[in-house]
Amino acid sequence: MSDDLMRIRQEELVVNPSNRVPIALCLDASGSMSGEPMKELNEGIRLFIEAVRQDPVASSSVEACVVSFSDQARTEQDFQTLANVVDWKLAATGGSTNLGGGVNLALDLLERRKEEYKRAGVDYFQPWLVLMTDGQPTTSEHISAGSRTCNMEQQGKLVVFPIAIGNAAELSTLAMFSKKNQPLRLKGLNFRDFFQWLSRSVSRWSQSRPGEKMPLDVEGIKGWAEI
Amino acid sequence: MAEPTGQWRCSGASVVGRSHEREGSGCQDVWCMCRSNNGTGGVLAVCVCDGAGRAKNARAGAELVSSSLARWLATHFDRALFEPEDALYEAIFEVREAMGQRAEQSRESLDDYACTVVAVATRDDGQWVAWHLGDGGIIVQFADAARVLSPPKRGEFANVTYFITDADAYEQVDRQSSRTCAEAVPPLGFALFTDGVESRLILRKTGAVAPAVPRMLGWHESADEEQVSNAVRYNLQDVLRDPFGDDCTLVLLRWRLNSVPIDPVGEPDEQVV
Repeated sequence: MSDDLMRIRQEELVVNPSNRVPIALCLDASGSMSGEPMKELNEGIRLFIEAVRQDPVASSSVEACVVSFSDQARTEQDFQTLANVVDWKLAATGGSTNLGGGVNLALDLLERRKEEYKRAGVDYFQPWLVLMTDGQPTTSEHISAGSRTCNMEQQGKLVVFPIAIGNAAELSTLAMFSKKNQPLRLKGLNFRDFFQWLSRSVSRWSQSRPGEKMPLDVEGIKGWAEI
Repeated sequence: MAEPTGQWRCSGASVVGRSHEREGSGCQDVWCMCRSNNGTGGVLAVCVCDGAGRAKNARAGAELVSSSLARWLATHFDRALFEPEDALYEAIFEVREAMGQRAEQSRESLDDYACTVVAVATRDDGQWVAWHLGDGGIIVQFADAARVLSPPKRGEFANVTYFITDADAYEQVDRQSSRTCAEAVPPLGFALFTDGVESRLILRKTGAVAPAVPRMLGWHESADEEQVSNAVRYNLQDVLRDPFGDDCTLVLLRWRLNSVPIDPVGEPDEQVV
Protein backbone atom coordinates (compact mmCIF):
# COMPACT_ATOMS: atom_id res chain seq x y z
CA MET A 1 0.00 0.00 0.00
CA SER A 2 1.43 3.41 -0.88
CA ASP A 3 2.16 5.95 1.82
CA ASP A 4 -0.41 8.33 0.32
CA LEU A 5 -3.16 5.81 0.99
CA MET A 6 -2.13 5.64 4.63
CA ARG A 7 -2.69 9.31 5.39
CA ILE A 8 -5.63 10.39 7.49
CA ARG A 9 -7.60 13.47 6.51
CA GLN A 10 -8.99 15.87 9.09
CA GLU A 11 -12.51 15.07 7.84
CA GLU A 12 -12.05 11.48 9.02
CA LEU A 13 -11.53 12.61 12.62
CA VAL A 14 -14.00 14.02 15.13
CA VAL A 15 -13.87 17.43 16.78
CA ASN A 16 -14.86 17.82 20.42
CA PRO A 17 -15.31 21.12 22.25
CA SER A 18 -12.28 22.20 24.28
CA ASN A 19 -12.25 21.43 28.02
CA ARG A 20 -13.75 24.28 30.04
CA VAL A 21 -12.71 26.03 33.23
CA PRO A 22 -15.79 27.72 34.71
CA ILE A 23 -15.01 30.64 36.97
CA ALA A 24 -17.56 32.68 38.91
CA LEU A 25 -16.62 36.21 39.96
CA CYS A 26 -18.77 37.07 42.96
CA LEU A 27 -18.23 40.77 43.59
CA ASP A 28 -19.37 43.31 46.15
CA ALA A 29 -21.39 46.12 44.55
CA SER A 30 -22.61 47.74 47.77
CA GLY A 31 -22.54 51.52 48.28
CA SER A 32 -19.05 51.50 49.78
CA MET A 33 -17.63 50.18 46.50
CA SER A 34 -18.73 53.28 44.54
CA GLY A 35 -16.14 55.63 43.09
CA GLU A 36 -12.48 54.64 42.92
CA PRO A 37 -12.86 51.01 44.18
CA MET A 38 -15.42 50.16 41.47
CA LYS A 39 -13.36 51.93 38.80
CA GLU A 40 -10.28 49.89 39.74
CA LEU A 41 -12.30 46.68 39.97
CA ASN A 42 -13.65 47.19 36.44
CA GLU A 43 -10.15 47.90 35.16
CA GLY A 44 -8.94 44.68 36.83
CA ILE A 45 -11.71 42.67 35.15
CA ARG A 46 -10.85 44.26 31.80
CA LEU A 47 -7.19 43.26 32.19
CA PHE A 48 -8.23 39.74 33.22
CA ILE A 49 -10.31 39.29 30.08
CA GLU A 50 -7.54 40.70 27.90
CA ALA A 51 -4.84 38.47 29.44
CA VAL A 52 -6.91 35.29 29.13
CA ARG A 53 -7.73 36.14 25.52
CA GLN A 54 -4.03 36.31 24.69
CA ASP A 55 -3.51 32.70 25.81
CA PRO A 56 -4.51 30.39 22.95
CA VAL A 57 -5.67 27.56 25.21
CA ALA A 58 -7.26 29.62 27.99
CA SER A 59 -9.17 31.85 25.57
CA SER A 60 -11.26 28.92 24.42
CA SER A 61 -11.34 27.15 27.80
CA VAL A 62 -11.98 29.77 30.46
CA GLU A 63 -15.62 30.70 30.91
CA ALA A 64 -16.57 33.34 33.43
CA CYS A 65 -19.74 34.71 34.94
CA VAL A 66 -20.16 37.80 37.13
CA VAL A 67 -22.50 37.96 40.12
CA SER A 68 -22.83 41.17 42.09
CA PHE A 69 -24.29 41.55 45.54
CA SER A 70 -25.58 44.55 47.48
CA ASP A 71 -29.18 44.54 48.78
CA GLN A 72 -29.84 41.74 46.33
CA ALA A 73 -27.67 39.23 44.50
CA ARG A 74 -27.74 39.73 40.75
CA THR A 75 -26.40 37.94 37.66
CA GLU A 76 -24.47 40.64 35.83
CA GLN A 77 -23.06 38.31 33.18
CA ASP A 78 -23.91 34.69 32.56
CA PHE A 79 -21.19 32.21 31.57
CA GLN A 80 -19.29 33.03 28.41
CA THR A 81 -15.89 32.06 27.04
CA LEU A 82 -13.81 35.19 27.40
CA ALA A 83 -12.98 35.20 23.70
CA ASN A 84 -16.59 36.33 23.13
CA VAL A 85 -16.85 39.05 25.78
CA VAL A 86 -17.41 42.56 24.45
CA ASP A 87 -17.27 44.67 27.60
CA TRP A 88 -18.12 43.97 31.22
CA LYS A 89 -18.76 46.95 33.46
CA LEU A 90 -20.01 46.64 37.00
CA ALA A 91 -21.66 49.51 38.91
CA ALA A 92 -22.07 49.97 42.66
CA THR A 93 -25.79 49.90 43.30
CA GLY A 94 -25.67 51.08 46.88
CA GLY A 95 -27.26 49.57 49.93
CA SER A 96 -26.23 46.61 52.04
CA THR A 97 -23.98 43.56 51.60
CA ASN A 98 -25.89 40.35 50.89
CA LEU A 99 -22.71 38.31 50.67
CA GLY A 100 -24.39 34.94 51.23
CA GLY A 101 -27.01 35.64 48.56
CA GLY A 102 -24.23 36.43 46.08
CA VAL A 103 -22.32 33.25 46.85
CA ASN A 104 -25.44 31.08 46.64
CA LEU A 105 -26.38 32.61 43.29
CA ALA A 106 -22.83 32.08 41.94
CA LEU A 107 -22.89 28.42 43.06
CA ASP A 108 -26.30 27.93 41.43
CA LEU A 109 -24.94 29.31 38.16
CA LEU A 110 -21.90 27.01 38.39
CA GLU A 111 -24.09 23.97 39.00
CA ARG A 112 -26.34 24.85 36.08
CA ARG A 113 -23.33 25.35 33.82
CA LYS A 114 -21.90 21.97 34.76
CA GLU A 115 -25.21 20.33 33.81
CA GLU A 116 -25.04 22.11 30.45
CA TYR A 117 -21.51 20.79 29.92
CA LYS A 118 -22.62 17.25 30.71
CA ARG A 119 -25.54 17.44 28.27
CA ALA A 120 -23.28 18.79 25.53
CA GLY A 121 -20.45 16.27 26.12
CA VAL A 122 -18.01 18.97 27.22
CA ASP A 123 -15.29 18.01 29.70
CA TYR A 124 -14.53 20.53 32.42
CA PHE A 125 -12.17 21.30 35.27
CA GLN A 126 -12.99 22.10 38.90
CA PRO A 127 -14.91 25.39 38.96
CA TRP A 128 -13.37 28.43 40.61
CA LEU A 129 -15.18 30.93 42.81
CA VAL A 130 -13.60 34.34 43.36
CA LEU A 131 -15.28 36.19 46.21
CA MET A 132 -14.44 39.87 46.81
CA THR A 133 -16.01 42.12 49.42
CA ASP A 134 -15.18 45.35 51.24
CA GLY A 135 -17.62 44.95 54.10
CA GLN A 136 -19.38 42.69 56.53
CA PRO A 137 -22.43 40.65 55.52
CA THR A 138 -25.74 42.26 56.41
CA THR A 139 -27.77 39.05 56.30
CA SER A 140 -27.14 35.63 57.88
CA GLU A 141 -27.25 33.81 54.54
CA HIS A 142 -23.46 33.75 54.42
CA ILE A 143 -23.46 31.02 57.10
CA SER A 144 -25.28 28.47 54.92
CA ALA A 145 -23.44 29.69 51.82
CA GLY A 146 -20.12 29.19 53.63
CA SER A 147 -20.90 25.61 54.58
CA ARG A 148 -21.98 24.98 50.99
CA THR A 149 -18.65 26.20 49.55
CA CYS A 150 -16.64 24.33 52.19
CA ASN A 151 -18.49 21.08 51.48
CA MET A 152 -17.85 21.42 47.76
CA GLU A 153 -14.22 22.33 48.39
CA GLN A 154 -13.75 19.32 50.65
CA GLN A 155 -15.12 17.03 47.93
CA GLY A 156 -12.70 18.56 45.42
CA LYS A 157 -15.57 20.15 43.49
CA LEU A 158 -14.68 23.81 43.93
CA VAL A 159 -11.66 26.09 44.29
CA VAL A 160 -12.43 29.19 46.36
CA PHE A 161 -10.51 32.48 46.57
CA PRO A 162 -11.91 34.76 49.29
CA ILE A 163 -10.49 38.28 48.99
CA ALA A 164 -11.02 41.23 51.33
CA ILE A 165 -10.95 44.77 49.99
CA GLY A 166 -9.94 47.40 52.55
CA ASN A 167 -9.99 47.14 56.31
CA ALA A 168 -13.75 46.94 56.90
CA ALA A 169 -13.94 43.38 55.54
CA GLU A 170 -13.09 40.86 58.25
CA LEU A 171 -10.89 37.95 57.25
CA SER A 172 -12.58 35.76 59.86
CA THR A 173 -15.89 36.11 58.01
CA LEU A 174 -14.31 35.31 54.66
CA ALA A 175 -12.57 32.29 56.22
CA MET A 176 -16.03 30.72 56.49
CA PHE A 177 -15.97 30.17 52.71
CA SER A 178 -12.79 28.13 52.39
CA LYS A 179 -10.84 25.71 54.53
CA LYS A 180 -8.07 25.32 51.96
CA ASN A 181 -7.33 28.85 50.73
CA GLN A 182 -7.02 31.33 53.55
CA PRO A 183 -8.66 34.69 52.82
CA LEU A 184 -6.29 37.40 51.69
CA ARG A 185 -6.52 41.17 51.87
CA LEU A 186 -5.88 43.13 48.70
CA LYS A 187 -3.03 45.63 48.90
CA GLY A 188 -4.91 48.92 48.64
CA LEU A 189 -6.97 48.84 45.45
CA ASN A 190 -4.55 46.63 43.56
CA PHE A 191 -7.20 44.82 41.55
CA ARG A 192 -4.99 44.92 38.48
CA ASP A 193 -2.25 42.71 39.91
CA PHE A 194 -4.82 40.38 41.42
CA PHE A 195 -6.60 39.84 38.10
CA GLN A 196 -3.30 39.45 36.23
CA TRP A 197 -2.34 36.76 38.75
CA LEU A 198 -5.77 35.16 38.36
CA SER A 199 -5.45 35.04 34.56
CA ARG A 200 -1.99 33.42 34.80
CA SER A 201 -3.26 30.87 37.32
CA VAL A 202 -6.37 29.94 35.38
CA SER A 203 -4.36 29.70 32.12
CA ARG A 204 -2.01 27.17 33.72
CA TRP A 205 -4.97 25.31 35.19
CA SER A 206 -6.68 25.09 31.78
CA GLN A 207 -3.61 23.29 30.41
CA SER A 208 -3.17 20.85 33.27
CA ARG A 209 -3.21 17.18 32.38
CA PRO A 210 -4.78 14.29 34.30
CA GLY A 211 -2.90 13.52 37.47
CA GLU A 212 -0.80 16.66 37.26
CA LYS A 213 -0.29 18.73 40.40
CA MET A 214 -0.97 22.40 39.87
CA PRO A 215 0.27 24.39 42.87
CA LEU A 216 -0.76 28.03 43.19
CA ASP A 217 1.74 30.73 42.28
CA VAL A 218 2.45 31.80 45.85
CA GLU A 219 5.17 34.27 44.84
CA GLY A 220 2.66 35.97 42.54
CA ILE A 221 0.21 36.39 45.44
CA LYS A 222 2.73 38.60 47.23
CA GLY A 223 2.32 41.11 44.42
CA TRP A 224 -1.30 41.89 45.26
CA ALA A 225 -2.04 40.62 48.76
CA GLU A 226 -1.04 41.86 52.20
CA ILE A 227 0.92 38.92 53.60
CA MET B 1 -15.48 -19.62 18.01
CA ALA B 2 -14.10 -20.27 14.53
CA GLU B 3 -10.91 -22.22 13.83
CA PRO B 4 -7.95 -19.89 13.28
CA THR B 5 -7.49 -18.96 9.65
CA GLY B 6 -5.09 -16.12 10.14
CA GLN B 7 -3.31 -14.19 12.85
CA TRP B 8 -3.56 -11.04 14.92
CA ARG B 9 -1.37 -8.22 13.64
CA CYS B 10 -0.23 -5.32 15.79
CA SER B 11 1.16 -1.90 14.90
CA GLY B 12 1.40 1.36 16.73
CA ALA B 13 3.41 4.37 17.75
CA SER B 14 3.88 6.90 20.53
CA VAL B 15 4.80 10.51 19.85
CA VAL B 16 5.60 13.24 22.33
CA GLY B 17 2.84 15.79 22.92
CA ARG B 18 3.52 19.35 21.89
CA SER B 19 3.25 20.51 25.51
CA HIS B 20 5.98 18.05 26.60
CA GLU B 21 7.97 18.94 23.49
CA ARG B 22 8.00 22.59 24.53
CA GLU B 23 8.96 21.68 28.12
CA GLY B 24 11.62 19.24 26.89
CA SER B 25 10.23 16.59 29.23
CA GLY B 26 9.99 13.77 26.68
CA CYS B 27 7.24 11.28 25.93
CA GLN B 28 5.63 9.64 28.97
CA ASP B 29 3.50 7.23 26.96
CA VAL B 30 4.81 3.70 26.46
CA TRP B 31 3.28 0.63 24.84
CA CYS B 32 4.37 -2.95 24.86
CA MET B 33 3.38 -5.95 22.77
CA CYS B 34 3.93 -9.56 23.78
CA ARG B 35 3.21 -12.70 21.74
CA SER B 36 2.99 -16.22 23.13
CA ASN B 37 1.63 -19.64 22.31
CA ASN B 38 0.59 -21.69 25.31
CA GLY B 39 -0.89 -24.59 23.39
CA THR B 40 -4.41 -23.22 23.03
CA GLY B 41 -3.48 -20.86 20.19
CA GLY B 42 -1.34 -17.83 19.60
CA VAL B 43 -1.92 -14.94 21.98
CA LEU B 44 -1.12 -11.30 21.29
CA ALA B 45 -1.17 -9.00 24.33
CA VAL B 46 -0.74 -5.25 24.20
CA CYS B 47 -0.56 -2.76 27.05
CA VAL B 48 -0.50 1.02 26.64
CA CYS B 49 0.44 3.21 29.62
CA ASP B 50 0.44 6.97 30.11
CA GLY B 51 2.73 8.13 32.93
CA ALA B 52 1.00 10.52 35.34
CA GLY B 53 1.93 14.17 34.97
CA ARG B 54 2.61 14.41 38.71
CA ALA B 55 4.83 11.32 38.82
CA LYS B 56 8.60 11.88 39.10
CA ASN B 57 9.36 8.74 37.12
CA ALA B 58 6.33 8.75 34.84
CA ARG B 59 8.07 7.14 31.88
CA ALA B 60 9.84 4.51 33.97
CA GLY B 61 6.49 3.62 35.57
CA ALA B 62 4.80 3.36 32.17
CA GLU B 63 7.62 1.13 30.86
CA LEU B 64 7.50 -1.18 33.85
CA VAL B 65 3.72 -1.52 33.91
CA SER B 66 3.23 -1.90 30.14
CA SER B 67 5.85 -4.64 29.80
CA SER B 68 4.78 -6.47 32.98
CA LEU B 69 1.08 -6.47 32.14
CA ALA B 70 1.53 -7.38 28.46
CA ARG B 71 3.73 -10.31 29.49
CA TRP B 72 1.29 -11.32 32.24
CA LEU B 73 -1.67 -11.37 29.85
CA ALA B 74 0.27 -13.23 27.16
CA THR B 75 1.34 -15.85 29.68
CA HIS B 76 -1.92 -16.21 31.65
CA PHE B 77 -4.52 -15.57 28.97
CA ASP B 78 -6.78 -18.48 29.99
CA ARG B 79 -6.90 -17.30 33.59
CA ALA B 80 -7.74 -13.76 32.52
CA LEU B 81 -10.53 -15.14 30.35
CA PHE B 82 -12.05 -17.72 32.69
CA GLU B 83 -11.17 -16.37 36.15
CA PRO B 84 -11.27 -12.66 35.44
CA GLU B 85 -11.50 -11.34 39.00
CA ASP B 86 -8.72 -13.50 40.46
CA ALA B 87 -6.55 -12.93 37.40
CA LEU B 88 -6.92 -9.16 37.51
CA TYR B 89 -6.22 -9.07 41.24
CA GLU B 90 -3.13 -11.22 40.81
CA ALA B 91 -1.82 -9.22 37.84
CA ILE B 92 -2.24 -5.89 39.62
CA PHE B 93 -0.68 -7.30 42.77
CA GLU B 94 2.37 -8.58 40.86
CA VAL B 95 2.84 -5.36 38.91
CA ARG B 96 2.54 -3.22 42.02
CA GLU B 97 5.02 -5.46 43.82
CA ALA B 98 7.53 -4.91 41.02
CA MET B 99 6.84 -1.17 41.14
CA GLY B 100 7.22 -1.16 44.91
CA GLN B 101 10.61 -2.88 44.68
CA ARG B 102 11.80 -0.39 42.10
CA ALA B 103 10.56 2.51 44.23
CA GLU B 104 12.21 1.11 47.35
CA GLN B 105 15.56 0.68 45.60
CA SER B 106 15.45 4.33 44.56
CA ARG B 107 14.00 5.50 47.89
CA GLU B 108 10.93 6.81 46.17
CA SER B 109 7.22 6.21 46.57
CA LEU B 110 4.93 4.00 44.49
CA ASP B 111 3.13 7.16 43.34
CA ASP B 112 6.34 8.35 41.66
CA TYR B 113 5.66 5.63 39.07
CA ALA B 114 1.91 6.26 38.59
CA CYS B 115 0.43 5.55 35.17
CA THR B 116 -2.81 4.56 33.45
CA VAL B 117 -3.46 1.16 31.83
CA VAL B 118 -5.11 0.25 28.52
CA ALA B 119 -4.63 -3.43 27.73
CA VAL B 120 -6.06 -5.97 25.28
CA ALA B 121 -5.10 -9.61 24.76
CA THR B 122 -6.46 -11.57 21.81
CA ARG B 123 -6.15 -15.23 20.89
CA ASP B 124 -6.22 -16.73 17.42
CA ASP B 125 -9.58 -18.42 18.13
CA GLY B 126 -11.23 -14.99 18.49
CA GLN B 127 -11.34 -14.90 22.32
CA TRP B 128 -10.17 -11.67 23.93
CA VAL B 129 -9.73 -9.84 27.23
CA ALA B 130 -9.64 -6.06 27.83
CA TRP B 131 -8.53 -4.20 30.98
CA HIS B 132 -8.69 -0.43 31.23
CA LEU B 133 -7.86 1.96 34.08
CA GLY B 134 -7.78 5.76 33.77
CA ASP B 135 -8.02 7.87 30.68
CA GLY B 136 -7.35 6.78 27.13
CA GLY B 137 -9.64 4.08 25.78
CA ILE B 138 -10.39 1.10 23.58
CA ILE B 139 -12.39 0.90 20.35
CA VAL B 140 -13.49 -2.49 19.03
CA GLN B 141 -14.14 -3.19 15.37
CA PHE B 142 -16.67 -5.79 14.25
CA ALA B 143 -17.52 -6.68 10.66
CA ASP B 144 -20.40 -4.23 10.53
CA ALA B 145 -19.26 -1.36 12.78
CA ALA B 146 -16.74 0.01 15.21
CA ARG B 147 -17.82 1.04 18.70
CA VAL B 148 -16.24 2.31 21.89
CA LEU B 149 -15.49 -0.70 24.06
CA SER B 150 -14.08 1.25 27.00
CA PRO B 151 -14.31 5.05 27.17
CA PRO B 152 -11.91 7.24 29.17
CA LYS B 153 -12.26 6.63 32.90
CA ARG B 154 -12.15 9.96 34.64
CA GLY B 155 -13.58 11.53 37.70
CA GLU B 156 -16.02 14.38 37.24
CA PHE B 157 -13.25 16.73 36.16
CA ALA B 158 -11.02 16.72 33.10
CA ASN B 159 -7.78 16.62 35.08
CA VAL B 160 -8.79 13.83 37.46
CA THR B 161 -8.22 10.21 36.49
CA TYR B 162 -7.21 6.84 37.95
CA PHE B 163 -3.78 5.25 38.15
CA ILE B 164 -2.51 1.75 38.88
CA THR B 165 -0.89 3.09 42.04
CA ASP B 166 -4.24 4.22 43.49
CA ALA B 167 -5.46 2.25 46.50
CA ASP B 168 -8.71 1.40 44.68
CA ALA B 169 -7.08 0.59 41.31
CA TYR B 170 -8.50 -2.94 41.25
CA GLU B 171 -12.08 -1.70 41.75
CA GLN B 172 -11.69 0.98 39.09
CA VAL B 173 -10.48 -1.30 36.28
CA ASP B 174 -13.01 -1.78 33.49
CA ARG B 175 -12.73 -5.51 32.68
CA GLN B 176 -14.38 -7.00 29.64
CA SER B 177 -13.89 -10.09 27.51
CA SER B 178 -15.35 -12.12 24.67
CA ARG B 179 -17.30 -14.01 27.36
CA THR B 180 -19.09 -10.86 28.59
CA CYS B 181 -19.39 -9.08 25.24
CA ALA B 182 -22.85 -8.54 23.70
CA GLU B 183 -21.61 -9.46 20.22
CA ALA B 184 -21.27 -13.22 19.70
CA VAL B 185 -18.96 -12.93 16.69
CA PRO B 186 -15.20 -12.45 17.05
CA PRO B 187 -14.00 -8.88 16.54
CA LEU B 188 -11.88 -7.87 13.57
CA GLY B 189 -9.77 -5.38 15.45
CA PHE B 190 -9.05 -3.14 18.41
CA ALA B 191 -7.64 0.37 18.69
CA LEU B 192 -5.97 1.28 22.00
CA PHE B 193 -5.04 4.88 22.68
CA THR B 194 -4.03 7.44 25.31
CA ASP B 195 -5.77 10.72 26.09
CA GLY B 196 -3.57 12.69 23.68
CA VAL B 197 -5.60 11.39 20.73
CA GLU B 198 -8.88 10.49 22.42
CA SER B 199 -10.60 13.73 21.46
CA ARG B 200 -9.92 13.07 17.75
CA LEU B 201 -11.18 9.47 17.78
CA ILE B 202 -14.37 9.56 19.90
CA LEU B 203 -17.16 12.11 19.80
CA ARG B 204 -17.81 12.61 23.50
CA LYS B 205 -21.45 13.63 23.20
CA THR B 206 -22.59 10.52 21.29
CA GLY B 207 -19.71 8.06 21.65
CA ALA B 208 -19.42 7.88 17.85
CA VAL B 209 -16.12 6.57 16.51
CA ALA B 210 -14.14 8.61 13.96
CA PRO B 211 -14.23 7.10 10.44
CA ALA B 212 -10.42 7.14 10.52
CA VAL B 213 -10.33 4.24 13.02
CA PRO B 214 -11.76 1.46 10.82
CA ARG B 215 -9.73 2.77 7.90
CA MET B 216 -6.48 2.65 9.87
CA LEU B 217 -7.29 -0.84 11.18
CA GLY B 218 -7.87 -1.89 7.57
CA TRP B 219 -4.28 -0.99 6.66
CA HIS B 220 -3.24 -4.34 8.13
CA GLU B 221 -5.09 -6.05 5.25
CA SER B 222 -2.45 -5.02 2.75
CA ALA B 223 0.56 -3.68 4.63
CA ASP B 224 2.97 -5.29 7.07
CA GLU B 225 3.26 -4.30 10.74
CA GLU B 226 6.25 -2.04 10.23
CA GLN B 227 4.58 -0.13 7.40
CA VAL B 228 1.44 0.38 9.47
CA SER B 229 3.48 1.48 12.50
CA ASN B 230 5.28 4.05 10.36
CA ALA B 231 1.95 5.30 9.03
CA VAL B 232 0.52 5.54 12.55
CA ARG B 233 3.58 7.53 13.67
CA TYR B 234 3.33 9.90 10.74
CA ASN B 235 -0.40 10.47 11.30
CA LEU B 236 0.04 11.00 15.05
CA GLN B 237 2.76 13.57 14.44
CA ASP B 238 1.20 15.48 11.60
CA VAL B 239 -2.55 14.97 11.77
CA LEU B 240 -3.87 13.76 15.10
CA ARG B 241 -1.58 15.55 17.55
CA ASP B 242 -3.20 18.55 19.20
CA PRO B 243 -1.21 21.83 19.11
CA PHE B 244 -1.32 22.09 22.91
CA GLY B 245 -2.02 18.51 23.92
CA ASP B 246 -0.53 15.56 25.72
CA ASP B 247 1.60 12.67 24.42
CA CYS B 248 -0.16 10.48 21.87
CA THR B 249 -0.20 6.71 21.51
CA LEU B 250 -2.28 4.67 19.11
CA VAL B 251 -1.99 0.88 18.77
CA LEU B 252 -3.95 -1.07 16.17
CA LEU B 253 -4.70 -4.80 16.49
CA ARG B 254 -6.25 -6.41 13.46
CA TRP B 255 -7.16 -9.96 12.55
CA ARG B 256 -5.56 -10.76 9.21
CA LEU B 257 -6.88 -13.70 7.26
CA ASN B 258 -4.51 -16.32 5.88
CA SER B 259 -1.45 -14.42 6.98
CA VAL B 260 1.91 -16.09 7.34
CA PRO B 261 2.14 -16.81 11.08
CA ILE B 262 4.66 -14.97 13.22
CA ASP B 263 6.39 -17.69 15.25
CA PRO B 264 5.44 -17.25 18.89
CA VAL B 265 6.68 -20.62 20.18
CA GLY B 266 8.64 -20.66 23.44
CA GLU B 267 8.99 -17.76 25.85
CA PRO B 268 6.75 -14.72 25.31
CA ASP B 269 8.29 -12.52 22.67
CA GLU B 270 8.18 -9.02 24.05
CA GLN B 271 8.61 -5.69 22.38
CA VAL B 272 8.52 -2.38 24.27
CA VAL B 273 7.95 0.78 22.27
